[in-house]
Amino acid sequence: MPKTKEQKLTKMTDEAAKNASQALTKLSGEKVTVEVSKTGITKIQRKFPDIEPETIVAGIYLPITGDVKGASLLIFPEKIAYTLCDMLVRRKAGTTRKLTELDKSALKEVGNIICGSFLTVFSNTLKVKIVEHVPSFSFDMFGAVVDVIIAGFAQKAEDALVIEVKFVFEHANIKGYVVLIFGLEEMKVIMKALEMGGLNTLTLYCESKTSGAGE
Amino acid sequence: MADIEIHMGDIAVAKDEDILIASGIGSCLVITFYDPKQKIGALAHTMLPARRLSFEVCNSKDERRKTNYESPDTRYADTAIDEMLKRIEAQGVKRENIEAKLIGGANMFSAFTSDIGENNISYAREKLKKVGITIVDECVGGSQGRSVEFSVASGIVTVKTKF
Repeated sequence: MPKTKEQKLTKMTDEAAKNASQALTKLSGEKVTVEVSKTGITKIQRKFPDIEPETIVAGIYLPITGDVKGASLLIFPEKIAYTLCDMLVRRKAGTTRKLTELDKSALKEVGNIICGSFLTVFSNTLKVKIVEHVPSFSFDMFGAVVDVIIAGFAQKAEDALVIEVKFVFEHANIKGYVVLIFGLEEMKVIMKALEMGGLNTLTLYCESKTSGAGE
Repeated sequence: MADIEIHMGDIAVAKDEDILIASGIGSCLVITFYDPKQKIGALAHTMLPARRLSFEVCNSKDERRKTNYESPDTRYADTAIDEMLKRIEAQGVKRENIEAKLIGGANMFSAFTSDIGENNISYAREKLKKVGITIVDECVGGSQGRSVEFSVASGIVTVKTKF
């Protein structure tokens, strides 16, 4: 990727991460700092975040429409989802053992906030209309949660741009992944706006990491 | 004896004590073939029903030829079934002896409007019928992830769920 385009992309993701951290701070009641740690191009079929396929995760999926069609997915490994729910639902740390409807709803809201922050910045910067839809929740094996998303785009694109982001909470250790995928045709719109050819899928991979208790 | 992990879009043929494994299956569809007489098995970890849409993303005839004809794309059930048949028959297995099993095809997200899982199941059933392969068992549909272990020595396919 040309350096100037990479810088533009980094600037966008930094801004999105900042917005996400502000919104998460408001939701969780704890100070949250979000940092983009790395970006890269990879095969969406093979190189999703390094989680074993049978690892239980909470997945929040939000379809994307507008000028660009795609998918956004927020992934939290099981224990991390529980830790996050402790904070969001104001429970004592370590008490969530099973996800209630309230917990699922709270996690969906986190999906809305995080994915929405990135999509809003992309939309504003690239001048493309991106519409985020109602989130859907799944709590199951990682491979099973992501394969429908991969399959949906496998026929349109193979490469993905991966951006890793860390979220630093004040009193908890949280790790998660946000994945945004756009199909080939949709990606052309983004590529044109970014003026960086050669890619055909965009994946935003966010790792949220906090300090203190948790994991 | 070897444990062979079959990733999305891959297929494998095995015999003797080999165990074919496909982990974390959601909408994807695992198709197993087994010849109980020769104890030879095959497993495909397919993602989509057919390769029709891949034509849409190929700009030139050369690309189309390369993508769809020169190398079988085993992400798709249709080409994966053909390729499995080719490879297992090359091992001396007769088509009439092959027993097929289907696992997967779940719908993990209610918001996912196109039901890839259901399409995978129905297409595979049709395709197997067309090529004369009998389906002896299925564990398909629903909204649960699955993992598959296929012991080629015994022919037993074990399906695990997390809940």
